[in-house]
Amino acid sequence: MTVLRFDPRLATGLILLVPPVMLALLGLLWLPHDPNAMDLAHRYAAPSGPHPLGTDLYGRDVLSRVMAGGWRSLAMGIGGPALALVVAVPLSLLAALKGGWFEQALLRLNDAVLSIPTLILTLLIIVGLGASLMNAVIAIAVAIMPKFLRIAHAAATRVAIEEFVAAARIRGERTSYVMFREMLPNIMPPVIVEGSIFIGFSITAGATLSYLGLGTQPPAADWGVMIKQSWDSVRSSVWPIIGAALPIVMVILGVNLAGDSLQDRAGISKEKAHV
Amino acid sequence: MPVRFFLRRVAFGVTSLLVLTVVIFLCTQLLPGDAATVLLGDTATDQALEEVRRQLGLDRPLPVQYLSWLGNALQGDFGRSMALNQSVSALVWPPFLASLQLAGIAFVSVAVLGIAMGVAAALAHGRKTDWAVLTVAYGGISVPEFVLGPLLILIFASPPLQLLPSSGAVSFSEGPGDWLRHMILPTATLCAVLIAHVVRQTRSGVLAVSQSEYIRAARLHGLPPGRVTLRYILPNALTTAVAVLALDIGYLMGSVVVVEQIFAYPGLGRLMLFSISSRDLQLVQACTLLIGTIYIFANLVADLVQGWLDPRIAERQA
Repeated sequence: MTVLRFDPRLATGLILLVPPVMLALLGLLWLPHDPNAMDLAHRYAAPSGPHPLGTDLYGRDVLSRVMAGGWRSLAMGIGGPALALVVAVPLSLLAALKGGWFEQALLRLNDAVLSIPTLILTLLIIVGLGASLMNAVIAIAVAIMPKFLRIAHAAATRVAIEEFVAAARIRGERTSYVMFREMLPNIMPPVIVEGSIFIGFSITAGATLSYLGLGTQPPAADWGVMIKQSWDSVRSSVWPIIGAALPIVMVILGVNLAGDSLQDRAGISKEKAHV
Repeated sequence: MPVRFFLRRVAFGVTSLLVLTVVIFLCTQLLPGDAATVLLGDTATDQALEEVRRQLGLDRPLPVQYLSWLGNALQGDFGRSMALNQSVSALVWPPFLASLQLAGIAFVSVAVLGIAMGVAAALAHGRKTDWAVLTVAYGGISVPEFVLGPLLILIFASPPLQLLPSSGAVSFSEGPGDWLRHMILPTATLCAVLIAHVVRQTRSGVLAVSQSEYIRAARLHGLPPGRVTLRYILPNALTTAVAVLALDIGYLMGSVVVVEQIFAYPGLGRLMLFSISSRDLQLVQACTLLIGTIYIFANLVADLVQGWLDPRIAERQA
């Protein structure tokens, strides 16, 4: 690990990330208004003291809705990659350790799945499972899994030839012990750093699904659902779309900036971990 | 190009295609309401459902259903659309051509602009042009299609400007000018993220090559800088760019779906979303198979082009 040097990208990234993430987390505990309370007398209100981001077409408080729905958008961004990680890492450890036909079959299958366009695969899985927040997380996880598996497998093969792995196997340790106690701690840091590029992608994919009506189902809202509803009524007022689009753009830009900075530090080329 | 390399890539393409068909078949079979329920509605009796299932062959074992579906699909027969009551193959053809135009124009724009801007940024490494291009690229990557598309409609297709149409499409034969006007906003939306991506990759590709030993040697040897750039740096950096473009086709296919929906563009992606929301299985299968096949084919072409540009890749994989 190199000495932490000031990087304007990392700093800017974090500054952009903090407000929307804090609002989404705070929204789990406290909201300024009921996010679903309609107030038809105050539709399309401009930002003001009681409504810092204005109100939407039903007079609902935009800030409260951004805060109340934020966790769903972030859940898709974190949940998708996390689920992919939980499945891909053990598989790749086992493949790297066992080698042979299992590894070959897994990699071939992986390459074949990789040649299905990501969003098409996501949509197919939604077709199979039905449209909901949970299924959107699963669909995103499955769709990014092949890319994740490549990263994890590359890290696992680097570790599998280390002497301490050979030593553990000669000692007669069980496969699960070698996988999770010896190899896992060594592949997690690179896999997490490289995997972080999927967060921005997953947040966008999740919001896209919600925008298309295939993710979070109204009346529940997330940032994608809010953006869809705000665009439909944009001729009447631009305030709802600004409130709904700003958090997601800030998060994606923040994740990209901070992620690039971290990857440069870790000496990883973006090419290798292409999304 | 070694024959082994060629055959290997083709075999991989065919395998991918088979896996794609299995995934499509499984996903459309997992669907909770099966075709019989869609056809008869929720109020149908169990007996009527059984009857329709037998007629449609849904009572057969899954592998048998898969093989008969695959056999029909290979002959271009995707069954009948339940929602539109038309033959699926006739239904997907016009949208397929429309999507091909949109994706084609977007791809060419991405390739030309992305590589040109990426090279320009790399050659101006650390100077103002470099920073400007990088900043724009970050912006492009961070604004999703469903924010940028409607924004462009709001600016260019709404009062007071109203320069361009906000939705729909016109065929080229009806009027090339009108055709182009309908293409501009969807293409611009499609390009933003991808250009940004290609710019960044091309830039780092060119930088990596220009910092290599043999370029240093060429410079120290006293070759004129323009010649070093044109003859030694760019040809080598081009392989990276082609690889990136190939991978981006997959992203493009996904974006096309979203962009067609935003601009009500009558293409395959919009048809696919319609088929999903109306639970029209035959149509879902045909749309996803077509889109997936184009991607696999495009990847195959890109692999072969890379092997041709850089014989070392072909040798390694042969």
